[in-house]
Amino acid sequence: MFSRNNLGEFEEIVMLTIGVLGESAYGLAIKEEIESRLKRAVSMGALHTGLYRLEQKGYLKSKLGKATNVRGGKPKRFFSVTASGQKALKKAMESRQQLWKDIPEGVFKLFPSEQ
Amino acid sequence: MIEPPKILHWLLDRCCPESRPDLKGDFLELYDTRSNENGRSFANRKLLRDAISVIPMNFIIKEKRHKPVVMFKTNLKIAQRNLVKNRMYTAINIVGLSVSLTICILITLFIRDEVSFDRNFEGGDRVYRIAGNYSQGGADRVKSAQTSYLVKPLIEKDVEGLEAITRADFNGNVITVGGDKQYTESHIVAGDSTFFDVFKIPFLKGDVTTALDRPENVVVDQTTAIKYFGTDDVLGKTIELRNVQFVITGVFETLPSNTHFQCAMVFSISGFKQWYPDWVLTNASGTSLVTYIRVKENFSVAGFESAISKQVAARWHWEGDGAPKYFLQPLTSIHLESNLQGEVGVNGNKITVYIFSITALVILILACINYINLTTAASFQRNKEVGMKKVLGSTTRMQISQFQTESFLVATTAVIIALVLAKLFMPTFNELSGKTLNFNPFTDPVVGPGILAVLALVGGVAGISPALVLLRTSTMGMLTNKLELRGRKSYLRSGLIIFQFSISITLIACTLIVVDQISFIRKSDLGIDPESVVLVPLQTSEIAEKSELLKTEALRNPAVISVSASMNKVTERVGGWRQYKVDPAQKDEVSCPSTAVSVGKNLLGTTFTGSKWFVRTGEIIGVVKDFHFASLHDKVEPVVFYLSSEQTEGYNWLEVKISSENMPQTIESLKSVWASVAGERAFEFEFMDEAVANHYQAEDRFLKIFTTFSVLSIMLGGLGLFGLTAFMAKRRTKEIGIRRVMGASVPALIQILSKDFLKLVLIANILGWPIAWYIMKNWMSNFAYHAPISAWAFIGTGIAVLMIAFLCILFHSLKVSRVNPVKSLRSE
Repeated sequence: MFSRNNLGEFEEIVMLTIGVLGESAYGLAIKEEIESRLKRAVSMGALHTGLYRLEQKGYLKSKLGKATNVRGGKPKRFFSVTASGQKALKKAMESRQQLWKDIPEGVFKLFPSEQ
Repeated sequence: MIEPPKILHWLLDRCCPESRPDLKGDFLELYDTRSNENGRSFANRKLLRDAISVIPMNFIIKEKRHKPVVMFKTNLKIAQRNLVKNRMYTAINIVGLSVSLTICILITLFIRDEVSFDRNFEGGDRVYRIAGNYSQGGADRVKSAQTSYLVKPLIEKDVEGLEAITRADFNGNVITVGGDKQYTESHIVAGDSTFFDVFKIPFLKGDVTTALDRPENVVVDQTTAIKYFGTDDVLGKTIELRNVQFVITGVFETLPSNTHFQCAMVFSISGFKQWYPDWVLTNASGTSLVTYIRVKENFSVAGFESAISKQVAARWHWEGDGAPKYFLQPLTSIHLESNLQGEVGVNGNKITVYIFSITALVILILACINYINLTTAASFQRNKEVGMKKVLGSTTRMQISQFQTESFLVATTAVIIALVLAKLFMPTFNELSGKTLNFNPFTDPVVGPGILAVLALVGGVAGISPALVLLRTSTMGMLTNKLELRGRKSYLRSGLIIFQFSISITLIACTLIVVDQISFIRKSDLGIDPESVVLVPLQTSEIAEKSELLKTEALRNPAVISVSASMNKVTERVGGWRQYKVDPAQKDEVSCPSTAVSVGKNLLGTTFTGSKWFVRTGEIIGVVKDFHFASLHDKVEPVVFYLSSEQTEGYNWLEVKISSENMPQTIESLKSVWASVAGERAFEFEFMDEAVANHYQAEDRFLKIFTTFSVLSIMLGGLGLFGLTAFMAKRRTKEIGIRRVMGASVPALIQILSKDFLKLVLIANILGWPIAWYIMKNWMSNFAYHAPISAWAFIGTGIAVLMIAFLCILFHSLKVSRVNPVKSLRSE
């Protein structure tokens, strides 16, 4: 049976970035990290919707930080990847690795096989 | 920190979902960095685009609240079906609520009347009564509401801050109108011409400023004017008091009943002066009348009190401990807070007001507890309904509104019944409380809103609780019938039952102890025998002068054993406030109420000289045993009887000891003797034992009220328990069926069903006893002599309440236990 829980590309990137950021993964930091690493624009709406959906799926969990004066009194929401999120990431990575592995030699001429 | 323009702020607030405050924070932080790096206009543009990008998120986030669908008709229909289906619980709820509401309404009216005393006088907040704290010789002092005739002249000129001052001598007498019609008036006041400057009572006829200027003037109230002359146009007419003519110079509005004194007519005190004995007019220490003052704005009570002491020292040359210390009582506080000697009327009591308010509240809470208990218990039958509604998308709010509709229906019915009941029981309550209360539920400023508040409380708060209990449980559990009924919920219910029964137990135990105490003081020996003694008031001084004649005439009847006369009524506290009481009496006084002569005869022949203020030398000719004059509230007090005659002191009362046989005939003969001596004046009399019993009126009233409350509380508790067991029994039908199949006997089943509840009642006993003991210990301190608090009052209460609880449970237990198990097990 097909599972609807396959990760989308953007979702995967967001989750991995959260992993990269560790303790300090909140909305704006994630956005900036993705933008600087991947050189692509990320809209606030897309990011936050994505974060919300991942949380609903149980792949992310979040907690509100302390409210500070710097952000107009609004707290930061720190995200972390849950166990099932990590499993999903691993599954995505493995399935791609499998695909890479199974490409016959000589098909991808730009990337000759490592062996 | 750079803030975006207001308009963007507003846009952000619209765009970001409320539940994600961090989102707006991210925007603000980003705005700050951008404006630092690229300038504000860039940041503004970016922010606008970002904000719009967030809008779709609002449709994804599910936390938005739905507006409740108004389903009033559906709710009403379901409510009606449910209430009719559970007739018994509906009835229990309505009865409980309406009875307790009735009590609340009546008590509210009572309290409102009590606190409204003396608040009708214009500017009454600036009126005070001068009361005195007098030395009784030695360290003993006594506070009296009365002051001397001489206080007014002492302070009226020399003490600052006074606007007006008046004396008021309250008494009763016979008024003759038109030479032949006689009226006995008990609310006669003799006041100064300033009386109406202090008490601003509106005048209907006459000039308020000059009305009491002359000694022969009198002012009457409207009611009296109409009673005497049939009209209130009575200026210039005359009435007669003690053979003196007085001219009516004014008619004032009849005082409402909520004033601490009543006055039907006000005479000028200068007209009364002729009848005052010398000591009233000259003795500064005497207490004969009441002094009221109206003060100016910015008046200092403490300053006035010290100024008056200075005057006492300067003018009366009276200083130190022996001098009277005068103090002020605000007019509006007199009724509830003052309980001094020589009060004008019977005052109320703050404690009573508190006790009543608490009781009303407690009874209402009891009814609410019943309501909550029964509805939560009943709501478990409705798990399928609630579950199904939840599945079909009903929100918490909609479910709550269903339960609230039901509560409102019940509460409204109860309120209507309560209003009718309150109207019906108004006369009975008035008789019990000695008031003349009335109310109209539609116009009453307190009862109307109060009832709305109760509706909101019962409908809103009590209606929510069953809904919350149900909604906490899982939908699946409800639909698959695997509802967990034990656990946290039953703690609440057990707690409420314990609370209810502790209150009932406290009340019942208190009632029993009060009964004990009252029968104790009633049965104890007063030391005098009040049986078959007739007390006859000698209504006027003319009749009093003929007391000797009355006596000889009365004694002609062999059924009359002895006759005496005295200045004071023998069942009242004699005298005023001396260390000992002096009672001018005839020689036969002692033999009359059959007091046994005691053995302390060695005092005989000693001379007695009285004290500083009362000097009368006499030889002691007898010693009587200790006896109580009035009631066992007070200790036996030292009393000196001395002989007097109508020439030295006036007699006011005739005491006649008659044979206990054929009393009606003896009274008849006394009546004819009276007619032959006193003429047309009607013969009045009372029995001494009844007069003694009057002293226990307060206790009787207390007892009646307490009994009513305790009966009500146990009734409410019982009703609640009755309803609850019905549910428990119903829920355990299958269990009982299986037990019966396995061979359990009916008594064993009853034991199983009642055990849990009886345990709660036992705990309630343990809580209720110490509370009752504490309250009663305080109450007993009102009495000089008290019955010991017996353990039986508590044990008896415990057993009685347990029995009542058991009987309530028994009915349903029996019903369930005797059902053929085939029936209860067959249905699925």
